[in-house]
Amino acid sequence: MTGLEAVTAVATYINAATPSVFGSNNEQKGKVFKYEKEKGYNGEYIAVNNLPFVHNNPAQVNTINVNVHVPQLPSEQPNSKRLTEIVNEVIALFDSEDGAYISGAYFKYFSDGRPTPDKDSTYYVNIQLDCTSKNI
Amino acid sequence: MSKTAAYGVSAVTFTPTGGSAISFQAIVKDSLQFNDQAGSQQEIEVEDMEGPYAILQTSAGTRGFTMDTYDMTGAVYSSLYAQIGKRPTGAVSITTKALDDIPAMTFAWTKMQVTVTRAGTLGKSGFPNFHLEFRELTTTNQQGQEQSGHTVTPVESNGGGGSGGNGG
Repeated sequence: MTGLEAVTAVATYINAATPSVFGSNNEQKGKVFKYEKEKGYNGEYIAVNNLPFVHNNPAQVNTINVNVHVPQLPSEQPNSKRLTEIVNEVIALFDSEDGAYISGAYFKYFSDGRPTPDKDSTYYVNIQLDCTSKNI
Repeated sequence: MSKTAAYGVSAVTFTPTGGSAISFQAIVKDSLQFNDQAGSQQEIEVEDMEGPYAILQTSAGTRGFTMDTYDMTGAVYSSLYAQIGKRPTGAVSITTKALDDIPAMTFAWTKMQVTVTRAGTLGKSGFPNFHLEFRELTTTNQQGQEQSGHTVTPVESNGGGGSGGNGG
């Protein structure tokens, strides 16, 4: 499995769970993107990317980043309440004993980071997933 | 065509002779290790030959595995606790996980001896665990003849394929 394939698998998986991740009655529906958000989009979104995928073990663990972006508050502080809601929902997707089994690989929740300001007036929280795939 | 390797552990069950099955919980990551050992042998050398005159087997090989579990509550603990320091025998099976085109497989033994001990530190930076050593015992049929007590089969929902017996 390549990094691109893994990112596609995770983005598709989260996208299928969009109603639970962003909340079904939220007026501003969030979106899931691979790597970068689409031009002109403003609102909550999740961007999925990958660290370099290494292929030198029969069963290899690589890292997928799931970045949860939420627009900053008028005071330019992170909207930690909303970030917490979305982050918890994303983690729940990948926090079973083995993680989620998608497209022939296991994706398991590994870590979550601190809210970090981004260029588009959002704060994002980075969630790392361990992607275990085979190389034989 | 699926690959033929085995990956991960999804379940380990032990059915003591005359008892009910225990399915182990909280298996320590990467703790299940096969540790088969070849039997030892003695080489008989003679003065007028370069190679060994004969090679005699002096002890049988052993087959088995070791495993650790953190489970300190519930049915598994109480089952294991009663066995600390003892060596119960019974049937054992390991089920592995599917990974892409590597199928889940079941490693099954009809008779193994288990040595149960507790290990580890009861502290703030880790958990104590049960250490289990499984050793295969010879299986005999009704005529008293030795037969294979170990099989490895892919976990396949249907289809007549693959009952790849391995052992003997």
